[in-house]
Amino acid sequence: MLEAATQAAIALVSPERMAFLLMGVFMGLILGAIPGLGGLVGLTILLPFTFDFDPALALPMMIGLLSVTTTSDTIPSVLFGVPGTAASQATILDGFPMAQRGEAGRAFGAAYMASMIGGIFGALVLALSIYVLAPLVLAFESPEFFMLGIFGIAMVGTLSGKFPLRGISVGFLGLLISMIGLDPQIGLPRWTFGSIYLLDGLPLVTVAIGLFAIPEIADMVIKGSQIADVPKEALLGRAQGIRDAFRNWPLVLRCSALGVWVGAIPGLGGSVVDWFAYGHARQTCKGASETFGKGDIRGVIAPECANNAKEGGALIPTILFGIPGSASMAILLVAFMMMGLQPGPEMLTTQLDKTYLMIWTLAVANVFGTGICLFFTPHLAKVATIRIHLLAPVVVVVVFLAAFQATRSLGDLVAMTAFSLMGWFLKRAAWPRPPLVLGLVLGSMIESRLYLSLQLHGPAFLLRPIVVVIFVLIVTTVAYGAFQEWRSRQVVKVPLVDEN
Amino acid sequence: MFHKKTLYLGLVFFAVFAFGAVAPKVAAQSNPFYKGKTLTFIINYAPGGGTDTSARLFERHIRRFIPGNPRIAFKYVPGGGATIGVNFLYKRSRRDGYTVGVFTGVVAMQATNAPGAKFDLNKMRWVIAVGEPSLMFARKDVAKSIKDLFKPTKKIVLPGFSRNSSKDINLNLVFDILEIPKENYKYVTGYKGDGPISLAMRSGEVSFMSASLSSYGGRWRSLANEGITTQPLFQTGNLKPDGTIIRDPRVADLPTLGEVYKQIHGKPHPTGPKWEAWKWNVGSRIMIRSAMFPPGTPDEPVRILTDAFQAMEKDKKFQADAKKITTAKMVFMTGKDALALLPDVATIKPQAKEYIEKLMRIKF
Repeated sequence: MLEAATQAAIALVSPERMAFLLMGVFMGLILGAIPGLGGLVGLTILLPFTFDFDPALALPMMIGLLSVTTTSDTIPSVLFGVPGTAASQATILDGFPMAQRGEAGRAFGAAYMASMIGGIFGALVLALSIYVLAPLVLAFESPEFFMLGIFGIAMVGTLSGKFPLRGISVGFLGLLISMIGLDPQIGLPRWTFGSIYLLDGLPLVTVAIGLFAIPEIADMVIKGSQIADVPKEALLGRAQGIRDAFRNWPLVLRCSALGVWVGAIPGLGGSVVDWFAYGHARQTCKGASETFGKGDIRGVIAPECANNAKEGGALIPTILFGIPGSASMAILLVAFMMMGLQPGPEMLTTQLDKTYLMIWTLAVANVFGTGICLFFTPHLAKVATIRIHLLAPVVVVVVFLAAFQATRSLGDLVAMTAFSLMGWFLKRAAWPRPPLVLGLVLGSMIESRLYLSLQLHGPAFLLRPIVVVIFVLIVTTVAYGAFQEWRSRQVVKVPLVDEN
Repeated sequence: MFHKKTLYLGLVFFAVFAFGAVAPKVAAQSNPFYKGKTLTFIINYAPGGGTDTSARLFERHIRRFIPGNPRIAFKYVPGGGATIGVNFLYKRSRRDGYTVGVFTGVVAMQATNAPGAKFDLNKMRWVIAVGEPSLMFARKDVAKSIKDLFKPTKKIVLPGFSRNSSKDINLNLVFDILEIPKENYKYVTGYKGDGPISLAMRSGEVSFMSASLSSYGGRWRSLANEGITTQPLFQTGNLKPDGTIIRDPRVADLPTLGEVYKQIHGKPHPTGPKWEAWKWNVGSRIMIRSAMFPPGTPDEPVRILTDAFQAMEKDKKFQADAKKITTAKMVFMTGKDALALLPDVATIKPQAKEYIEKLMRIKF
């Protein structure tokens, strides 16, 4: 194992490979920063080029691209409250309030440092645990996947705002919306109202952009000032943020490991990783229940390092079982096949050097990606001081284009407008929006796994050991959330009485 | 009289005009149809799937066989259960011979009246059809051979995507036609793709599967190599225009369903609606991928592209690449033969249709 590792490391350091890696990193950074694009688009563009390339050049480029989209997707999340990719929603909760306080630079500094450490440490954890994780992935069958999906929704529901029960309801609304399209059992159209556009269900990108982008921009335009409500001199910088990341190193290490392990669960990992990390941070950090959601730097560090580590985790089912953990991994798989690489145990034996090449690429790409982002942070932070009337039109155009590229049909714009309206009302009524997106993401998996579990085991599937454990976790999470909500209502009551 | 300048200008204009009017005709006689042009492939699935992989494989090689060496561009039009791309080609794309569809699954879409399908394959100008037989295999710890299917160690679990998908229909037809006792197996459906099924196969959640030849080589063979599943037990085979089903030469050692039936029950397979349904199933598999021009495309590009595919099929480099990427050689059926087979596979005979609907508890 050691020789393969060192061999691959030496191979990576050649000038051509580094050049290709850097190219991938640049593409990935740009794609991640623009809401709605993300790694999938880039990989699609790169795919034809890989067919005639030497795999040792093409792989670093593609993996370089994939590794860094979760680094740059922080930018729109922090500055505008718009998720750059679905993976960076949890960052908005604390990152955006920080930007509004003029601490965008600090948020970026901490986020990028956390991303870098998360990515590197994640690659390390991956390298070590690859042998252990493989059989663990197999322990998850349909009942476990179903429960995990419900847990994801419960978790996001309780974490994403002051009112956990509202969050969970919104999560189930998302589940409901995910049912628009073809029924998984029979293939009958459901709630499509005869429209071909809706036959495939609502595209995630369009919904997420509608829910977040327009309401935030609208609010900012109405307020009429700029993103950061503080004068230029008060902008806190990245140096502070970098220091914060290092100061919280235990949290960073824990969340990176979490990112790798949860990211390895196929089909589920990618979308919930940042939430699990956020939730973990909230439960373990001192004083978190008061400060999280208002601009606590740890609420930015936790999800950012986890979602960089998850790319490493998602490689495991992809290269070992040929089961892509996400749409991006699916394209990577095609690239593998076109290069004649076979996913399977050979990746741990005869092709071990290619596996290590990928792991090192992950680590190095993270260093480059975060380095570049850190360098540009002061400029990025200044965006928060541009007058919103100059910024909004540009952002709105980009946002409409991004929503449109989901299926490039009129339906995208109609859907986006509809969800913008919904997002606006949800925001006004202080109902959280992230759970809706997650419900949409996890909905089809939850439904299909529920039916499979019932077909395979009948209702007895609920008695399986891992299922019971996850169920207990769900109940605990929801109960804890409900308790928090009850308590915060109690606190509000007291001052009204004390009025002498 | 005229100014000299005006005269000269007029001459220049006239020369340019004359040249412009005559040049295309001259060019057409010396330049091939595709010279300096772009041929666009319309793909009815999203990038990264099997359709894309095959289309990329074609793109890599076919240019050499098209006179004029055109650029090839890809246009992905997924959605609507993969019908939108086909609809697009049928109704909206240009009929000038520079746009061709490279599709998967269109025959089954028409035969099962897929919602959203707004095309008639009989009117398309077919170039080629490609297909492969499907191979069946089982988890070793449940059944080690065909005989064991009748005496499995525990209930065989058949997976699927949805009750109306061709994968599900295929598996259920196999077990029903072979007359495997119903208590030996259980059919569950709703998996979202090959990936989850492959995971379920590994963990033991399901125990029998069918896979096309290339997807077997690409994804499932490693399970056999690891000792989890058996080697392929039998194949769906190739449907001939005369209605017989023969072994596909690429897996000549695997028996067809008819042969397996005879082997187990000692008499030839029964005919009737069940067998008609099976023939339809086999037929739609060997035409699973296709390249076609929209209706109204002139003869010249159809002929050029058909010749190019046929020449490519004989090319050693292409087949070596096909073997490397899809793990099997590619065998093409010409558009003419495809159209001849279409009546049998683009429509399911009424009694066969009734049988499938009853078996799968669906309505087409």
